[in-house]
Amino acid sequence: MALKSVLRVLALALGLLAAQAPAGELVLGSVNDNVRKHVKRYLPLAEYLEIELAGQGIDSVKISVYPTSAAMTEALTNGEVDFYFDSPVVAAKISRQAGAIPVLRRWKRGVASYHSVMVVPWGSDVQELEDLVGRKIGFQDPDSTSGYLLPLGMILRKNLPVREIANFKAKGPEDAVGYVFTRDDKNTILWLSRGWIDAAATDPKGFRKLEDAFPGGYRELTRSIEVPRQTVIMNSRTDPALAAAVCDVLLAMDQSPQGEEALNKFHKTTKFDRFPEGVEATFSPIYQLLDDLDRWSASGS
Amino acid sequence: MNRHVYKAFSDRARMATSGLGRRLSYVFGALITAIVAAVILINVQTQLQLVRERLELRVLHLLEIATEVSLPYLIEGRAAELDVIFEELRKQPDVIDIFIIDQDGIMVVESEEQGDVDFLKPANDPLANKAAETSEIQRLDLPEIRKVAKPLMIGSVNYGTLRLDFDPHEERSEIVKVWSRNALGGVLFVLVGLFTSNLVATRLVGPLNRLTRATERAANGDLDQTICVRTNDEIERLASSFNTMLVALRRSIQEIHEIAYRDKLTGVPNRTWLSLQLDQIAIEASAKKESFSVLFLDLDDFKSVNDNHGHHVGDRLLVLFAERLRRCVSEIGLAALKVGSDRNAAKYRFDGDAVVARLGGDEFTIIVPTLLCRELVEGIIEAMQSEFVLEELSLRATTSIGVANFPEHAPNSELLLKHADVAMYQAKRAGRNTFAFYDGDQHKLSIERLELAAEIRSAVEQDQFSIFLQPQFFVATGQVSGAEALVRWNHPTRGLLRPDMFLPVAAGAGLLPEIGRLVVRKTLASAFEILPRVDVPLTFAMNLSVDELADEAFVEELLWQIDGANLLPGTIEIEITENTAMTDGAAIERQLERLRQVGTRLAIDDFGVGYSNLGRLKGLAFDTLKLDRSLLQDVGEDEEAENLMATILAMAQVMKADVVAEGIETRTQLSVLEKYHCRYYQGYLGARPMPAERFATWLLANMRHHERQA
Repeated sequence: MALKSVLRVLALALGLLAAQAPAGELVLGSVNDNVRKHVKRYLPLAEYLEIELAGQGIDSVKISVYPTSAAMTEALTNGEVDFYFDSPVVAAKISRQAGAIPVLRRWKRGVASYHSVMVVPWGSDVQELEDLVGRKIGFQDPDSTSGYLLPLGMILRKNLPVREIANFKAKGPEDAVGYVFTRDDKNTILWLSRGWIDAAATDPKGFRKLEDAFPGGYRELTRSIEVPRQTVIMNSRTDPALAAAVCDVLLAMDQSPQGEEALNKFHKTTKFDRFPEGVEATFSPIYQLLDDLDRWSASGS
Repeated sequence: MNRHVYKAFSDRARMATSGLGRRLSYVFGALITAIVAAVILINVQTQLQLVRERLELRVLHLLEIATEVSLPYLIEGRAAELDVIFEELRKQPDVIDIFIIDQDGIMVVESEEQGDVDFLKPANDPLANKAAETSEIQRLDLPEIRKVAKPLMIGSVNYGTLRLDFDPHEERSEIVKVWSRNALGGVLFVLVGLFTSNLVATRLVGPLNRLTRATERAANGDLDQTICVRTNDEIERLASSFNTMLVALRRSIQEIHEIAYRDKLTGVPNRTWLSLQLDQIAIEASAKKESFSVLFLDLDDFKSVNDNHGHHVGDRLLVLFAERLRRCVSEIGLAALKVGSDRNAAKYRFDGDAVVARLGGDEFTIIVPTLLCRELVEGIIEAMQSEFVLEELSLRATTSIGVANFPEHAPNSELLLKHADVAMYQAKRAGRNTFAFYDGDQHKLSIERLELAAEIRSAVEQDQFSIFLQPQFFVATGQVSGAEALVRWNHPTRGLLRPDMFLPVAAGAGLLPEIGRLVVRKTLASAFEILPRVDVPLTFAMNLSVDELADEAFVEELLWQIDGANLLPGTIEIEITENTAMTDGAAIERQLERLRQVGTRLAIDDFGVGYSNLGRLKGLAFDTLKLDRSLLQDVGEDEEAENLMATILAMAQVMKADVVAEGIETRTQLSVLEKYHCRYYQGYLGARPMPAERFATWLLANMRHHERQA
């Protein structure tokens, strides 16, 4: 049965079965360009759900991997995916576009939520974000939540001009905050340590590395809003009873050994829970961030 | 394994493992082992060098690759990308860890061991520091790990240091393989070497072992061998010396044997040879169920040859006698063994033919097959007919031969020789110049006689002899005229023995003078005791033999005793037998004359049974004739006997001799004696012989009787 599932998932991934999920079938969705890897990652969860939901009229749980956010948005819109797992900012963006609903928080590696920090050398004269104008900040890459979206959001919130620099050797703009993509969080802190950039946007983990390597050598300039580590989005078209049943199963997974095992295999997931501050409180800053980004994009950045 | 091959192998092994062979094997083995070890060490060193160089190349290659790939990223500060690259590099089987320390000594690509904990931390790696300082590759080779630090430079700009922890396990396994291969090869080489050394040692020691065995054989008496060694070295010279030594040894032994076993004078085997070989000959003959004879030869009267012509003539005679014996042996178709002519000691053994040997003096033996024995003996007796020509002198000699046969006459060599000797004496007794085969019965008698002679000798010493006196009477009056002393032996177990039971043996053993002395002393003692007690003259007669008369010392003692007894002349009468009287000898006559001069009467005893020469009798000037009892046996009944007695009495009258008739037992005999005027008689009619100590009493009684009658 596992093989059968895999074959079907592959067929789905290739878009051959691009039809709405029929009754008795639950579809889990994900965005990634590595289909095989993602199917493999989701399979334990899918199998677990299939077993747990057998009494709820679910014959099978399928996995659909989409290469882009747009494809996922479309799939959600078309009702091809019932549940979608992703980072909070991306998930918020897609869910807003597709009318889907964030339902659960997904813990990963024991972390429920996180934020982004901007780090500067201890002796830097940068005291606030505005001091970054005319200086270079290192971002990770355009898809990174903590390494790009959240810190960029903070700068945009301050209405500071931001402009990308080709590389760290190039001179930054004098009238704007120059940023350079380091391609990796590790590179970001390396570059900061070498003085190639004036500030680094990283996550708390990156900052701890710096602290470890150079105790007292760097300080936190500012930190972003707190966002869930991962989120689970539910298609609004999905049968509410089924959705509720799925949520119940997911929430109870960490209570049983089989559930824990499936969680661990599902990309080191610790557990699922409900958003402590509620969906609205959790997501409205993220929506605001999305709005700022849209505006910045529209302004031709 | 084939048994022969196994034997050859074990022989070789034995040879190679014995003494010098073993030592040579050890030396060669040790040399080969040392050489192989040296070669292996050199080989191993070379191969290990190759392994090290190959691994060095590998390390350098890894460093090069890592440098090429990582340097651009390092320059760009792409630690994450470097992580990915280095993760791949770490997958290389011999890479334990690989990481980068930047120019500030900070870990850019952290070591796998530490994970990303070390990221951006000071590396504190002395090797890397040194590489950074020197701008040269630095190494630290440890058994389990090889650490290399390579400065990452472009031109003179240092961007950091590449640190590689290399696992030299491949080198270690290569080293193990190299050692294993070489050790295996070495073991094979050593084994082959040992086998070869064993072969070589065998080649070298083989001749020595042959020499050793030859020496052992020589020690066991095998001198008839020659060892052949062709090694063209000291061993060949040793073998040659050994052969020379064997020749010398054979010669020496030959000489020793000649001295030991060959009679120097005659050249024939001697007594030593005979005593050694006769046993062996007997054993071999027993085994073959054959018989052989031993001839015991003795030259008759050889002593007189030495006495009359000197020992050099006697020796020469012995040499000629030996030659004649050998010739006799060859004339019956046998080869006589001659010691000294044979090449080696083994030939000193009797080989089935005849052998002439000298026992010593004039005694020789011949060993001959029994079948040819009589022919040989007769041949020898015949050959002795011709004279021996010794330079100016020609001698006639005879030999007496005793023969004893094996196993008929004796079951062993010792008895055989003894019996041949006995037989030789039988031949001597048979009149010499003849031969006698061993006669067991005769020998037994001889032995008894010998035993008796020994007893007699002992009896003389223990004074077991006594004298009996038999009275002699006047025929006319019946009065006692004297007595004849007769010897008796008071034998401790057999009782009183008469003279005829021991005197012949005593005569044969030359003991008569010993007994005679006793008789003389006891007779004189009796006379000395009796005569003073009676008032009439009496004659005491004693018998003397030729042997006694011929014994100068005996006669001297007799004369001295008679003279010392101071008796009236005519009191002592010496009786000699008719045969003694007829013995032709001036010496006897002279002794008799001396006895007469001291007043001793001479009586011819047992007259009438011998071969008397009347002329000679007359010359002896005897006083009494004692008629043998055989002459008187029939007197009174036979006229002829009476006439003969009458004639003898008449003859005695002419010779002016008294006559004593012996063995008178009847009145008739006595009356005849009266009729013909025989003066004296002796016999049971008058009295039997009585112990000397009773004679005086008897005599006195007799005399009283006659006085009463008178």
